[in-house]
Amino acid sequence: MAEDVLFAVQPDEVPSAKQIEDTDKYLIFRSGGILFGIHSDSVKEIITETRITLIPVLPEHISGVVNLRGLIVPIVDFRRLLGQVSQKNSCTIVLEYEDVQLGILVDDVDQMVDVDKKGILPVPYQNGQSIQNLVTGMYSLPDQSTLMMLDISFLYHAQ
Amino acid sequence: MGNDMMEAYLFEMNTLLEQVDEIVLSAEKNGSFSEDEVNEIFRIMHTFKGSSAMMEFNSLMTVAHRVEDLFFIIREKSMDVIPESLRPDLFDLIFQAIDFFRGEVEKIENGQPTTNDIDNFLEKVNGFQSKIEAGGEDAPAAEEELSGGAVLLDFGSAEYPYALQVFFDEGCGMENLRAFMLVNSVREAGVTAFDYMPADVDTNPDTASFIMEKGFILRFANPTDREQAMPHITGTATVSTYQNFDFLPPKTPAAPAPVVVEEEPVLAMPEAAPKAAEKAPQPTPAQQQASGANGKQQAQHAKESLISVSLGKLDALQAIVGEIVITESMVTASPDLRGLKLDNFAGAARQLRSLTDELQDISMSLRMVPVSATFQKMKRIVRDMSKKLSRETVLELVGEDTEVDKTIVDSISDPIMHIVRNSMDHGIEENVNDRIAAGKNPVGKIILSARHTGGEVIIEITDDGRGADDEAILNKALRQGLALPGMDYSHKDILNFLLMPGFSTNTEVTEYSGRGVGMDVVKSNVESVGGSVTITSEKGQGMTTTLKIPLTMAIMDGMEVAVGDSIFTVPINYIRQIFRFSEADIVHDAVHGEMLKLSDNYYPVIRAKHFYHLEQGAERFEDGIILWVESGERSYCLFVDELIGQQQVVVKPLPAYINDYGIKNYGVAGCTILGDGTISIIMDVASIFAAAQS
Repeated sequence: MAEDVLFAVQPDEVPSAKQIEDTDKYLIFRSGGILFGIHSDSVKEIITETRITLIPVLPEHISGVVNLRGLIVPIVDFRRLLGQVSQKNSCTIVLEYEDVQLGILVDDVDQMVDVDKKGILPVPYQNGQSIQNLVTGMYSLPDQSTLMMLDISFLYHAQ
Repeated sequence: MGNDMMEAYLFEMNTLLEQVDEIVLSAEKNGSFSEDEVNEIFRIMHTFKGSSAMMEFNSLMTVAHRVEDLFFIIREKSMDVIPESLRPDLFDLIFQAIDFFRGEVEKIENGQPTTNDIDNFLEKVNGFQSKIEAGGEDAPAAEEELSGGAVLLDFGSAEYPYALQVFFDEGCGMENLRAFMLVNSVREAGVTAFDYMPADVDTNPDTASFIMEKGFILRFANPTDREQAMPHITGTATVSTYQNFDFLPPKTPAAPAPVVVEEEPVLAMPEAAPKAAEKAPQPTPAQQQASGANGKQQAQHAKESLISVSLGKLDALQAIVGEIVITESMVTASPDLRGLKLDNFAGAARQLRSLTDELQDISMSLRMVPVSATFQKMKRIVRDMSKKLSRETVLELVGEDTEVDKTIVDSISDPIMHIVRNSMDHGIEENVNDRIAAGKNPVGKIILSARHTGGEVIIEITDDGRGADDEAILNKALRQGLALPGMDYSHKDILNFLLMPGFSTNTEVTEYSGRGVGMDVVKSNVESVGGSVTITSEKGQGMTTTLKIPLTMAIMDGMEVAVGDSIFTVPINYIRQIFRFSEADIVHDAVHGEMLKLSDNYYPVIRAKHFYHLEQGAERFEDGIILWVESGERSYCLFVDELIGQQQVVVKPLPAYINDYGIKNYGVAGCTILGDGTISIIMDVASIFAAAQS
């Protein structure tokens, strides 16, 4: 998954100035077969090779910490957070929100998309689903698949 | 830019103030200033004056200037000029000046305006100066000349008879440079046939005081040149008055007559001129001396090998060094090299390893500063208070060179100060006779000590005063509603009341302690950096307050141990013994607890693997190793898989996201990054025991 493919913008898709105003860039990642979108402002980097140090006595969804160039960054296993079984092959998205860094383990990172703000739809009521707290809205991608918009602040305060 | 300058200024002021403080303290002890000390204070005041003038803090500049003057006299005439009886006053005066500077610097730091009300202080300096002069024989005459403010002019020059005397606004500062700028603008106006005095304004800052007193004198060859220069003089904002003098050849019996007078400055009496002529050469040798001294001072400056660096840069350096160390091991242990026999490469790699290790050590030590600066400050407090309260007390410093992280030094300064004040105020006996009656040295003693142990810096403040009176404390606690009537309290419990909010044993609020903040503030300050405060005291035997400050960023010696695939660091100082043993030595108790008998005592065994619910790790005692650890009163055996080795580590706090889960209560004190980039968890020996028991 080379970066140039990830971030490539097709020439005919260059958005007009007006479009930019109404759209936000989102990074799409997959976890447990679901597509999630995370606002690109909060995405700091994507790392694939990590050695996670387990910290004892923590809830299951926190895998531990990694050493990111001398910085100790906590890692949340997204699958575990959703109550699923954790998976071996995964990559880590490092987020930065309110100056705090947090890594999330996801299955894989898909691509960067422009999301029309007006097209974001509210989440229907889902009884007792933990996913509902995590998601602020839903969005239909051009290929008809559905994107869940991740609520970063909830992720940071998921205790 | 402006901020940088301000920062540099404040830093300089603070550093120099501490220096002066130290000098005066030691001088006071000896009862006199040595020649070096006088020179040093003179130099520092001179620097204060210059930099304050540059930053336009006029009140600071003026005070510095006056103190400098005072020391100028002392320097010229040696300490003998000050009779023994006046010396205590001199020391007090300097201390007052230091306090004034401190106060002002603090105001500047907080963005408040500086005070302009310095007359009081200046009066004191002047009063003192005249006292000295009354004591010394020849001083008054010389001093009057200066303070008389008479215009002493000696600019009779055959070549340049047309003189112009310029005075600057009082207190505008940097007169010499302003004068030099004046010279430049005159030159730019195309006037070349002139000279000026003092001639070395651009290089010798001491000429500023000459200009302030006697004016800056420009001398022109002919009146037209002077006319031409005039608009540049009048156009300069800081020029307050100026005056023309025409010197005709000496034949003319009359003294120079002022031709043009604007704004009426003090005029030179015609009779003053010949007298002035005699006197005038006087300042010149003095100036030369001063500039000679200046040169020497600069040499001294160069010798000071300290620079200030922002913490941010150090953090960045530390991060990058960490990366280098990791990259180094990635390169030298690269899988591509496996199976190759590379003698030269191996040699070079070894060298690289030792260099990177050294680099890492140095970068770690950069953030560490000795506690001596903080400790030195306490000397001053003890000195002031023992004078004020008339309780003779000495302060002994132990372990001043103990190094702690810069951020920690900053956070413990206030608590230490508070405790020292408390010791002076409440600890040391009010009446010397009480001390003598108790068989103590009449001179009180406070010991301030710092040392490293295990993962902590321990700071102890011990006084040999009257100690804590359990009964009085309990009564007070009952009155304040902190203690419950009818309850039994142990000595330890009672001492703990001292640390509670709303407790203050002194009924009167004094100048130094008891400003409504008590030991509870000390406690919360220390706890905010993760430390703890304990008090031990026996009635009549004094009191010891112990601050245990965790290292947070400090470097410590750790033993790396492995449990399964996790690596933990155990602070070396907590380890009593390391040994292997067999299953047969284990004693089981009724509730599946395991114990070991070591030197006639039973100690519980805690298995790290079980304690942390790790998936991997040795089960059989034969496969692992025991660390016999001890922290305070807690002593137990920690069972781990294997030892990896001893290493110096920098403690990093875990992210708040993780700390929020209260892992600190489960023996996780922090973490550290090992040479190869892996993270090791630092164990808190005491809290593991507490958690395992519950």
